[in-house]
Amino acid sequence: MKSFMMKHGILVGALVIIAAIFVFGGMYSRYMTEQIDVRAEAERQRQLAEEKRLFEASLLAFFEDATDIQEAEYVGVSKSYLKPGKSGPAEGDYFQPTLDGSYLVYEDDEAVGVVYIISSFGNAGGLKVAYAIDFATDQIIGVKVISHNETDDDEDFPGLYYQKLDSAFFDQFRSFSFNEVVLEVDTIAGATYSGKGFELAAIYAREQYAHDFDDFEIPSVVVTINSIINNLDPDTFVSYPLIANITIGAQATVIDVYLAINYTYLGVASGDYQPSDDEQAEIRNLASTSGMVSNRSWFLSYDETTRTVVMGARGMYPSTPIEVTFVLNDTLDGVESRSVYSRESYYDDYNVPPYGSYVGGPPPWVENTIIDQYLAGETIDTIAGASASTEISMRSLVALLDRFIDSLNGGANG
Amino acid sequence: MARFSQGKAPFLRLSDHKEHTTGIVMRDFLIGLLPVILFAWYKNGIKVFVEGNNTFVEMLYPLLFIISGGLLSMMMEAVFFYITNKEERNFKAIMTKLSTSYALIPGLILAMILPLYTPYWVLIFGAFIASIIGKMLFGGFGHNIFNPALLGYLVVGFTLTGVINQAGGVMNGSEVLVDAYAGATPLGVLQGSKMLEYDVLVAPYGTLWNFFFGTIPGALAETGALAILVSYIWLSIRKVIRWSTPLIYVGTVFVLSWLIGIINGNSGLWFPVYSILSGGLMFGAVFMATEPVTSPRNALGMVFFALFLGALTVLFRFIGDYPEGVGTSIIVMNIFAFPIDNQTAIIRSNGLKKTSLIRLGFLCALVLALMVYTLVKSNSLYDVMTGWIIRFWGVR
Repeated sequence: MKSFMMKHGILVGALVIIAAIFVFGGMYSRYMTEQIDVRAEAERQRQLAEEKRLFEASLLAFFEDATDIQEAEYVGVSKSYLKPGKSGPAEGDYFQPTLDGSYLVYEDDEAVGVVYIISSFGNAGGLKVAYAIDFATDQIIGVKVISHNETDDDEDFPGLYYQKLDSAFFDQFRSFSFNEVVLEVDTIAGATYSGKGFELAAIYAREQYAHDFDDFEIPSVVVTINSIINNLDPDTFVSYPLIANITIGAQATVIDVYLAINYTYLGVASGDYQPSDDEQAEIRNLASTSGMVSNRSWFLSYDETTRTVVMGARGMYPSTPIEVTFVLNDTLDGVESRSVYSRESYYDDYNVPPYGSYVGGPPPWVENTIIDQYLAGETIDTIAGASASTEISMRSLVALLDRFIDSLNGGANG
Repeated sequence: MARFSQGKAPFLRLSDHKEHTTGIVMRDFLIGLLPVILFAWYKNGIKVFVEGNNTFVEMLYPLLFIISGGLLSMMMEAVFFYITNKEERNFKAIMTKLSTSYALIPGLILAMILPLYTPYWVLIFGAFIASIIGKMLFGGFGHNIFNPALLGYLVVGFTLTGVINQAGGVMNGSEVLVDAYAGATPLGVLQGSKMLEYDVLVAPYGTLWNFFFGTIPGALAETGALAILVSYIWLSIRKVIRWSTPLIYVGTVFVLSWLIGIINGNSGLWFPVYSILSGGLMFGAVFMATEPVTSPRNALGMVFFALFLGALTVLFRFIGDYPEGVGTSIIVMNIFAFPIDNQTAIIRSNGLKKTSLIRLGFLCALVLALMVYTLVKSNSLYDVMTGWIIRFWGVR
């Protein structure tokens, strides 16, 4: 062995050293290369942290005197909203905004506000927006668009899309109160749909706010419709066709209000309560879906001396109502004569699909038939093919006339 | 005695002097390399560590890498000696051979001019090319045509640049974080942009002082101009290298770059200063162009050698695929070291005779032609010349 090392030791030694350099050096340089990625990742994390810090600072800046901001872990409420169509009426699809983040803002250990990051819809896809909400006033006091997918270059508005939503638009979020019943964002012409995205985000933010903080309740209108009747008073029934009896307000006040034939609020008939705009809107909403009164017929005029009552009814064509003139008898308990002015065209229309089964004569055959059966005190027959609109309008009309005659004779209204 | 036949008496070999043995030259040369090695370690290891951009283990890497390079060369030569001489395989005999053949140097220098993130196997491959192919197969020390380290460097450069860049390339842990560098060395920027503007070439890296002190991106040891200058002075004083070659080489690059700057409407001194302080020019001029085996031996030959090197370096910087032209030009001139040595020796020994004047004139014409060609090829001299011609004759 010793002689072998004497002879070949230098070879063994040199090869061992080269092999050692190959193995350990290889590991060493691999380690060096791996460290590049490790440091790049650390640097990326550092940058992310820095971005986060700057972002949180920008949110904190919405609150005067606030000293600290902490990420919070509120869970988004699940609520869908009808998505407005781009031109006019709703498209009918529902949209579910999401809560993508939340922060609590502190002033010397006391929470003074919350920031919600909400994903809503935009003109061209998603909109992510941060709303800063002040606990003291329950108002949005700051807004920050975090991301959007709008094309930056618009033909009409070169440059940033959000230049359309100028400072006037964003200024409204400096004091945007959650205590309004109906939250409405003032939109900017040319960017209406985007404005709706902000509006929905604000509505959702209030929902979330009410969910997370028990001190706040979403203000709502307390209205109950007790009954709706046709106004049978000849002096007023033209201007105020419907009278609704409602219970309203926190004190549950019962009042009568006048409504238009399309249920629009017209004024207080009796009672000591003045409904707010929101309540008026709510009255209309509830009345229109109550089904308590037919809105297919109404009074157009009443002349006491000639005992002539003119009534209207909505037939097949809403824009051209049927007009029926009745002359009452001396004792005001029957009809002396009647004439019908109708612009219906069911003779043709009811004979094509989907009706197709109409067998009567040309207009005003349906009107006359129903009125005649009523005057004769007979049961009003169903007229094949005409039941969709003309028939129910005429039934409504004769029923209304019946109640009117009844009221003229001191009978119970309706 | 053939090599002295055309020189003038008396012929005294420096290496025959008692105080100038191979061992002492070796020692002086290593001392000369020390500032540059320490600089490489400082710049790519210690400084980065101080700045908090690498670990302690990473910090040691540049130093260990360079030492490994030297060690590899030595071990490979040892194996070579062992294989090629069956009679003398004992430890003592081989160690004696190693010490007289400067076995350490090729790998050491090779490691110094490689990028920081060169994988070790690439270093081993390069050291093999340098020591075995570039040196031992030619017959060992004193017989090689090419500078061994440079041959290794160029083979690695031509074949494995992608591997080196994949592993991390030239930027150290601090430099990768500097956005202004954009991952490029100063010469890389010049090659990419071809714009002779201070704001493009120098400003991203600081000032020219950064170039002088070496705190710019580049291979391990090549950027440290100041450290190389210290080595240059030491090696010149110790007569390990001849002082004139690096001076003329760098001077030529300086003057040609200045002319290129002027041609391109930028007569500031910053461009020539930038040109001599960037890339591996200083390193190559001091440690490679002066290598005694692969460069001319007489003083006049060294002058021409350096002039050619300067012109070729500038030329390659402007026309080559690689940003740097130092390595290529030195390798090319290694081939011509012998003819230049030969011709200049004749000129020197013949004095001012007709035959020597013709030779001198020929060499001068060759250098001048190369320089003019370099100026023409660099950037937009064609355009400039066209402009002059139009101004002179007018447009017809």
